[in-house]
Amino acid sequence: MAEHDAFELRLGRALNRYVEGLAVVADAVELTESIAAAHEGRWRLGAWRLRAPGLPWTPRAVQVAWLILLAGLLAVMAIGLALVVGSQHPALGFACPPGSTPDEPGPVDQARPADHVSKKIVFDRRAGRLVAVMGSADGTAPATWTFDVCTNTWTQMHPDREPPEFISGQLVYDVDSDVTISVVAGKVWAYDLKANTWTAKGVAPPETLLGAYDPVSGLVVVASFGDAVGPWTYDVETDTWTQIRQANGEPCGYELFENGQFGYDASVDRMVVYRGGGWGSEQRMCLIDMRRGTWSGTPAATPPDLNTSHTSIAYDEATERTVFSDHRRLAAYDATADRWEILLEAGPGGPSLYDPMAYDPLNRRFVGLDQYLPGAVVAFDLVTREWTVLLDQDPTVAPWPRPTPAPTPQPSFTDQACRGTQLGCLP
Amino acid sequence: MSGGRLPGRPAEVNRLPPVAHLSDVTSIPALDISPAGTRELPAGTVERAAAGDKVAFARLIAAFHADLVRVAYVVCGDEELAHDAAQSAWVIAWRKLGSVRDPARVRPWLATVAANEARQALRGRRLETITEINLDENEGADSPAGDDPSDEIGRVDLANALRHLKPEDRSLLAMRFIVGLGAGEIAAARGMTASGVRGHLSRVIDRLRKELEDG
Repeated sequence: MAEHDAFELRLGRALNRYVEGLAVVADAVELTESIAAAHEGRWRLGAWRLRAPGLPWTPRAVQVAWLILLAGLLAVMAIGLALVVGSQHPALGFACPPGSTPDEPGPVDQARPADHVSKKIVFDRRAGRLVAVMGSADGTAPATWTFDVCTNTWTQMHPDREPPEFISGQLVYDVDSDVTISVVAGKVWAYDLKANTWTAKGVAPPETLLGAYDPVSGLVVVASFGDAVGPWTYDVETDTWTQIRQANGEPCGYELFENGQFGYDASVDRMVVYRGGGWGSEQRMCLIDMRRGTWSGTPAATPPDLNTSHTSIAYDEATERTVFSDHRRLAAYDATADRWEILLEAGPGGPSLYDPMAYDPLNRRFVGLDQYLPGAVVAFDLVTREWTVLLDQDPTVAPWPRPTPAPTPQPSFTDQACRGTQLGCLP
Repeated sequence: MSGGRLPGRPAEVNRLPPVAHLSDVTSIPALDISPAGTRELPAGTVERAAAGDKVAFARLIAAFHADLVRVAYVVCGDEELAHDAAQSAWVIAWRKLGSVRDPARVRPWLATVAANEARQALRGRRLETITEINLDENEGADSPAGDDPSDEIGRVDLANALRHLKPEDRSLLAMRFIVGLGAGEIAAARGMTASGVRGHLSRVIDRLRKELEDG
């Protein structure tokens, strides 16, 4: 069929003109959610019309019997599907090898990153390891480490070249390109774990500090609060930037990015932006629809007061919530219900998963460096609310002093059902 | 903000592309659409989608939904049915994508599923032929530049010719000319031999040639 005669060419053109005016744009995310929900037994069709074939005409009693039979079959199918789906790991290019003991602490005498002023971790989904970059304030070069969540062991990578500094850098793992991206001192750097190389890219928009990965577009979303304030997308393959302009007005504006934190929430396919309080303004949340450019507020709840200078954001794929941590508390935000929950308040004793933190989709829990136990790595499972020590603290370094407990949450943060518990629910 | 020089930014930054509207990021820009019209999906997308990864599945929809609607429309000639058929195809894909052994063949497979769904939809409506023709007010105005417009096949003529074909024949035409698949790809997706596809398609084209050129 390689050769076409003139008629075939005309026929091809005519057929393509024939379908030219069709509306062919679909909201891929919405359609996926609808189909997935239908197959999970949670019919959430929205605007989509997934039609079931009509029943043949029968007397009412037979129709009822058909419906009961159909409902029974659907229930059996849903249970079977849930068992199958529930037994699968999230789609990754990596799985822990048989015999791994991800819940057992790693060797305590292993080499591990020393404490640094600036440290960030991110999960490399294809390698199944955490990538950590440790920076210092004295101008010395940062160090690149990886943490194996199957064996709970650190490895210093010693690439030939590393970013010159990492004082206030961020890390974002780009799944499509399989590189970890950082914006350091106005420049983009990309780390390829497989090749163990850092590559210097181009210049970033001024004062770009925040970042998240948008899995639908396959681009990294960063926020700038410099001259070109607002969110941008970054394509590491082409080293190009595109500013995302707000298509609507209130309730949120560009001021969000001046004191905010930024993450991607897959449950609603939105970028969530948390803006810290201060200077006479209250903390607030906004959701950005990257597909339509519309920004929306979250009027139902006042967000907790988080220290945005030391906040990590990670999305919990098991409970479909965005989790924030700072030096004082761990809080989860359910974007589908616009509801906050305080998971942990700082206090004496116990683990303290604060900053930095990343979600480990392999073991479906958060992993972070303990804030007050030097060298310790801990994990927190939001489903079971269980802590797991992945690596005990470095015995050669004394623990750091813990802060005073966080102030009592404002009355609006707690409701009667949750009052008096450690985990304070928010309305 | 305009796409001009940003105040206080180094000159290097100004080599960035002009500030774009959001529409630039609504069309899944990470996808590479080659001149041939094939979409280069990130490696592993099909496998991840088959394993239940919603993001990967959404990426497939973003890449191929338009193809499915167009194929279904050629088969059934009804826009609403075509959309329903495309959606039904995605429902089937969610369940059966794992049966696609070669990820490179996902596009022909999806097109085949959509064509089959369109044929089913036609049967459901008891319409084995296209009965409604949407006339374009600008009929003939979209002929390629440089070509003689009178030489092009008109929309009404084409629709009339299509309605005389079997749905099976229309689906072959759609897969060849709308999706741009080769005989081997069509054959693999439909369980035929490549030579069988070539022969069948040749007969369909000859029939159309007779009807559109001689008629």
